[in-house]
Amino acid sequence: MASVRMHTLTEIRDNLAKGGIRPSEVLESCLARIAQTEPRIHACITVCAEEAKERAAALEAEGPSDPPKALWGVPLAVKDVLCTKGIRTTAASRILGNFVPPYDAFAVERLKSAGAIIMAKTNLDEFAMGSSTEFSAFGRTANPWDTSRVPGGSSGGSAASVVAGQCFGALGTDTGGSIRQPAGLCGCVGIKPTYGRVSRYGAIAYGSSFDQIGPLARTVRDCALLLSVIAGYDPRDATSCDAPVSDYTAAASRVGLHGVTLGLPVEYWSEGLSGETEKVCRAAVETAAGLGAEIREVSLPTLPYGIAAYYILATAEASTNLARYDGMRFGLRVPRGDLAESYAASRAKGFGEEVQRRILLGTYALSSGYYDAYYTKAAKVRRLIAEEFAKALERCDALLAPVSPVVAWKPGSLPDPLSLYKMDILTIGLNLAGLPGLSLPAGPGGESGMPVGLQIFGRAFDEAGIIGIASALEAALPALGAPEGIGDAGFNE
Amino acid sequence: MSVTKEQVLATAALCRLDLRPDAAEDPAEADRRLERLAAQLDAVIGYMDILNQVDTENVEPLYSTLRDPAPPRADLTEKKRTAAEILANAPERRENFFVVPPVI
Repeated sequence: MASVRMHTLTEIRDNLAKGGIRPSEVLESCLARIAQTEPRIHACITVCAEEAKERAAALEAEGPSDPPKALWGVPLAVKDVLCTKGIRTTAASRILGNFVPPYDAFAVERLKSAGAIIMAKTNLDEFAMGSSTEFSAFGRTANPWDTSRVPGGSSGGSAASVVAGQCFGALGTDTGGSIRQPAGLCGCVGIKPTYGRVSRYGAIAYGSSFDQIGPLARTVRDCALLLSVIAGYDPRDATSCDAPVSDYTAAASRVGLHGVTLGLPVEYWSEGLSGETEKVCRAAVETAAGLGAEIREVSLPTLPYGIAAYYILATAEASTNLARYDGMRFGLRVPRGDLAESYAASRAKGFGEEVQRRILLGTYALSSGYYDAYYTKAAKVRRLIAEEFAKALERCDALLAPVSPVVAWKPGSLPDPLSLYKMDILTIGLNLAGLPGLSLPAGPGGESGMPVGLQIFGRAFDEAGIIGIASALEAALPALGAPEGIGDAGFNE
Repeated sequence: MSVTKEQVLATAALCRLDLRPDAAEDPAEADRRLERLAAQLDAVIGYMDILNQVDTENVEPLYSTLRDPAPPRADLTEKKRTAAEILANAPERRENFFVVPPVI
């Protein structure tokens, strides 16, 4: 069984398509691994084993089409913030604890039409608000490399599931780094596509002008394959773009970086990086240079203000998006007095502390008397940051930066919310600018042995470009291997 | 500037959040929680003031990075879901209606 789960998504897909293994065999292997690792990792909120088995049986009865579908028979996990028809979708919140959507999110529809099997809904920080997957109403997820540490977040369940070998790939969402940062801290590949690249239809909204759905998997090629399936125009999302979709898997064949100019924004490489993070990431830059890339320093002078701008704009959007949860048409209801009192009681009981904090922050920033000082000001700073990124990307094909200032930390080790928000400093700039970014494992940290991630930022809709660069680098960077010792005693790993 | 407990409560009223749901059972704990929340929000809002260091004279706010305005859809009605589907998640329902607490 272990041999099945150690394959890449692309390998297992190819083997399924040529009849070397059956979908139900692959699924059984994944479900066994889930049973084996969940007691320690807790990556999943819901494991839909029965639905997945029925689906595998149905696929087997049909057999692969000719040519085979892109993901025929491949078991995948989906962050529990994407709606799945008939399968509970909670956003890791008590307020949606029993919510069963009557429809699939666009990205889920795409996976299903490509022949994939949705096997599990993964854990996250409630409503994707967090960087550690500690703030879930369903308990925290652990990092597969060291279960006493966080997996990052908010797509921490997806990253941990992929790295623990539970699934071959997963979907996450990235509002301020929520795909790239857990991918970096757990040691897998994650792509945050350009804003508008993947339809957000059926994604439970946090910050609508930032949210973007993307893949996490163990290799660049696997992520490229998943992105090829989910990218595209969808009229049901008014912010979905009708830009052509490149062949991302072809881009993942790049070897060498000759003729490529990579920028190092000084603001990302200056202060605040831990010693081991800086060392591993600098070594990765050397590797890029060794592959033929020209490295040049660039500057994004407004970036240090990104945290403040992001936490005003994203919480403002969140405060309006989450106004819909009132316990009347769906979700948790706490009856108390009249309608308004029931709203307030339902929301108090349904939302966790961090979500309440962000709703309050956003409401404050949007309230009369503070709107211009905070919300409008933040939106102006956002434009400056977006323009600085665009300018840097005129001179460079892509930019490189560490994913997180430190490796995965211990739960509860950050003293207050502001300290946690500041951990997002290296990821949020990209969301403010709406650009695509990829997180690539750069090697283990010298002190902790924990994964360190490198980000590659690209021009709008140039996912193919950053996939190519990542692919060339991936082959040359130190491999992490797979974490050991996370299976329950009694199971043969 | 600093965020006071009163401001937090006023903001909570705007977004329909009861910040003292258990005040009747344990008023001291409810007060401590509100105190802590006000201090946390004060720290975050205080930090936001660094934005004033950025010169944004003549800069237009950027609310979305979308390059093209959302293309309009054909103005057609479509019946995607049945009443039963829409009501399936309702906390309380009667016939084809959501049942809600008294409004007035």
